[in-house]
Amino acid sequence: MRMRLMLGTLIAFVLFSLCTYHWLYCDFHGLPDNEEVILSGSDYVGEEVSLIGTVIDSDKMLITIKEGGIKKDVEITGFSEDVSEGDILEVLGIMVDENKINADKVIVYEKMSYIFIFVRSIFAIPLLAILFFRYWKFDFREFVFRRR
Amino acid sequence: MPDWIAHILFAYILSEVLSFKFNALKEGRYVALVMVGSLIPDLVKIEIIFDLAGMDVSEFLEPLHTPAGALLSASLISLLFYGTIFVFSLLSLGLTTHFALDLLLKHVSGGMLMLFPFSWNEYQLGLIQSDNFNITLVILVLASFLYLYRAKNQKI
Repeated sequence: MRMRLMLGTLIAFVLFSLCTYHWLYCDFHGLPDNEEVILSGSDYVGEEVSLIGTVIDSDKMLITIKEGGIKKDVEITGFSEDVSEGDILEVLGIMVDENKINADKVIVYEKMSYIFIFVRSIFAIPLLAILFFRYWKFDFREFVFRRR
Repeated sequence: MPDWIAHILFAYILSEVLSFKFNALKEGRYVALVMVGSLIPDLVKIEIIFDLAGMDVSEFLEPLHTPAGALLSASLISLLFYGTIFVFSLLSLGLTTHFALDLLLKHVSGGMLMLFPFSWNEYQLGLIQSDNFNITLVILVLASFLYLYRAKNQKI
């Protein structure tokens, strides 16, 4: 029990360090995304950015991007595919100005199709829980799973 | 991500196929562990709970969806079982199926940090969209076929 606790603490520490390393340095890697464009969009004018957002006006091709509860509306140009309000767009393109992107590449997820991913996923949780606890039970005294 | 039904059933399919070679995988309790392992990388979705509370922890939790982070998560979980190393290997098999499926996904840029923390290169095969239901259907049909085959040949 003590050995498992020590190992668990060590592994948790390594995992925490890995997460911290990513959190500290991720902004220096990859393309600017929602966070950078929301916080300081003007700094990235003329640069390639990668965004994901929800269509709020399909005529003006306006999407709202979100990060940590903060939102910003961005206009997409150079893209003419039919989309509807609520659809999700992944956009790779050049920032023309603080609120406008000229798209090079766009992936469209229809609203219901996108929601359906999560609906299907929710069904997996009880299915897996039933299957798992059919074979295993938790021993609170020893703090381990035991076979039934 | 493909949906979780696709992930757990893909892990089930792999377990069934490998059970022809490895007898341990003929036991449901071990197959269940492989299926649990297939969802370990998506522990990163805990961020949704924080997101609802107005906290953005996505950049902090992202390593959970890398092989290194998922293996560490699997090793933590395996400490909750006797036969830790065997359980760890089953969970690892499961999480391998997760990355195999997720690698197929198409994004406008980036992909998965398969070599993190040694490299920040991102990888994707760009074959299917996340919302593509066809892959789930194919996996569902294959898994049903294998389940029926197993049920016919031995009691589960």
